[in-house]
Amino acid sequence: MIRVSQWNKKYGEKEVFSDVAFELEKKRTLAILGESGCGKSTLLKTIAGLEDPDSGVFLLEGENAFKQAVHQRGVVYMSQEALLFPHLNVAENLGFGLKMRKEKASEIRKKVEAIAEELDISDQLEKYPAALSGGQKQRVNFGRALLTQPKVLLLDEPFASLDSNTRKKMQTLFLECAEKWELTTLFVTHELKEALLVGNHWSIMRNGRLKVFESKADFMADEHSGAREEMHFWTSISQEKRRNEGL
Amino acid sequence: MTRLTKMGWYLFALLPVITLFYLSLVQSWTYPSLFRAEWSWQQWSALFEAHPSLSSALANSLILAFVMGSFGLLFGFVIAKELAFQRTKKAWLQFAFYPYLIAPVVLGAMLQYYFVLWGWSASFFGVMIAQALFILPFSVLIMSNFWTAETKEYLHVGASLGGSPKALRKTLLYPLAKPWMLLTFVQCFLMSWFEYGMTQLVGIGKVQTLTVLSMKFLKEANPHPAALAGLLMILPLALLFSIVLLAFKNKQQLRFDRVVEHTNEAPKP
Amino acid sequence: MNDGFTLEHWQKLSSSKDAWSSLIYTLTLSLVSVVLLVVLAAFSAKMLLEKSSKKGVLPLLIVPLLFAPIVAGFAWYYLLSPAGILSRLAHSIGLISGLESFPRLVNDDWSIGIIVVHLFLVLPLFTLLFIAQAKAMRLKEMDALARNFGGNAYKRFFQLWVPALVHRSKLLIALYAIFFMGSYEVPLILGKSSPRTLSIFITEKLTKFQLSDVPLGHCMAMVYSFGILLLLQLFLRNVQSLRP
Repeated sequence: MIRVSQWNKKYGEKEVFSDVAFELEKKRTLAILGESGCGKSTLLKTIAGLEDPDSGVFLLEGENAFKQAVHQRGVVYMSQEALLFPHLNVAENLGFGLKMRKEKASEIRKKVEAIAEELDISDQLEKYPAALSGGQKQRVNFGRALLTQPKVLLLDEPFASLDSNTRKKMQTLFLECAEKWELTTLFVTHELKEALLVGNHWSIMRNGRLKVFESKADFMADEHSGAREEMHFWTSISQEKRRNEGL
Repeated sequence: MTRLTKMGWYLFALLPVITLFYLSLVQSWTYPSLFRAEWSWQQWSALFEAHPSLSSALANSLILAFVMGSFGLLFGFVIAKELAFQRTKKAWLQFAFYPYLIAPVVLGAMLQYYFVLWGWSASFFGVMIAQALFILPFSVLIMSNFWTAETKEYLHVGASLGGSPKALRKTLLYPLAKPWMLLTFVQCFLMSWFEYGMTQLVGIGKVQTLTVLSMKFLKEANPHPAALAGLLMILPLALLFSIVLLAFKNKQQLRFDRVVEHTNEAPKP
Repeated sequence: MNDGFTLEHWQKLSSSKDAWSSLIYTLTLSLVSVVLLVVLAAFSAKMLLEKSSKKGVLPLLIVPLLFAPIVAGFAWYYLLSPAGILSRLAHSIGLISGLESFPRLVNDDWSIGIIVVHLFLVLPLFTLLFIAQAKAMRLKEMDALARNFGGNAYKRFFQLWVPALVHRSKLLIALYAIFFMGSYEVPLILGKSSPRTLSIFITEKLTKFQLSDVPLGHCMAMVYSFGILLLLQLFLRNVQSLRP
């Protein structure tokens, strides 16, 4: 379980986020909806330990996570760019986290092959990242994170640069994996539909403030979620269609 | 037209090489004889016996270039890292261009007074310091291509996946930096290897490198040993280039397009 | 020798014909070299982009990279000088009667030798670069389009290829213009004693035994340094953009 409270961060005079607080149970996904520049990436990087907050409390499974170094924290950060290591092939990229834990090469290979099968990239194992498509890269990125069995997985608009078809496939894949691997995740997106699809809890980040909602209904009712405009749009379309049919 | 361009290139690129080989193989060279000149292996067979200064010049050039290459590599790697995420990075990098752009020889002439004053003139050490003045800043310029936000992100991902700083250095940092380190080494090596003006000025002819010696032979109107010295400068490079190309053949990590683009930044005239 | 602070040397510099001709000569030499460099590199990139024409030529382009400027200067000197190899070749096939009838190509009024060596040292790199950039910009396809619109070969080259490639590498071209200005060994071997390039002028003034000339050399070095720093500021305002 994650517990974050009273987080503040400034770059010079500029406030990045302030008074951020939330809790997340194991095996749950908190969707964070927000426009670019609202501070959500910095928030995720702070959780991963790649940035430090100015103040705040962070408990990860009951322990003070701020005392743990990045590599000991067990929190994996996945950005919009897949950031596969260019000098390693797909298999080596997938097994990177396991190698860091000094697991045996034969064990690593077994796990890599299994996850590649699951993610449908078995035929890509010997290729280098430069030869992969955007969707394949994100699959490898995802697999690389899963194999480390992270306590928390942080996804920073992971599918934003993919085309809509690939994006849909990846969303489905994420849901399947989240259930199978019992993932605890924070999923940042700027797409309402994606937030609704992947989350069990919902929040909105605006101007450095994080607002967490009690329920999906509350989230959708909020003026900044964009749900009302979306519904209004589709309602008017269907009304127009009915009118046309009536004629 | 394409064929003509190709022919033009063949002539343009190969004529000087042929000239050097030719001059090193003929002995008496009176006008207008060309093919009827006196051919001789003597220059080559008695390479160092006939011109004892050649071997010491070769040694001096090699030592200087290796020292500059290695120091450049270390200096560039460390300083570029320190500069990478500073706000003043841009200003510093612009400044690093200056010693090379102003032409090393002019820099040497401007600073010659101090070299004499501190007793560094006419010494190997002095020449080393003089070369370092324009080579080391340049090494930072090259290595700063590596220390980018992208590299930082890779290291972040690596740490986030459980890599300790030590493990990341071995598995990510050095392998990713390798092509740039190699380029820095080669570039600094070449800058030292090709340098004439500053070396001559600070060394006052007492520190003889191959370039200094070539010019000396040339001024003595002695083209045959000069050609030999020129070839002694070219052949090791040809070897070095072949090794580098072989070492990186088909390797994904050598971004040749980038390397070509950056090789441009250290031109020679 | 020390008369305290004085502007005398600056006045001397501003009225020195020798200094002015050296400055103008250096700027002209650099400009001519860089214009020829760009046009010839664009031309040979265009030609070498034709199918299979690169074969055999690309490894050749590496050859000049192995040449120190001093060695290149020296090799071309013995190729182009009146008693050099080309002159002997011309004589042996009966084109000229003796060395006095061979055109002056080194230490000449037009600095032909210097420009040839400048091109020898840098043209291959620019050709390689332009080939890569032309591919990235799909210039061949654009060229075909321009032909459909009725542009002749001359127009297509000077209104499409050259401007497109120059635009893409303007920083690098500017850098090379500055590098040509600092050229030292090449004009030392292939140039005339007057006018001479700034680097030779400054070095002479600063290192020859004529002590009264030393301040003049320093003044010129200052002018040159400030000029370079100014150009750097102009062209490299964004050093980052030099890098892909």
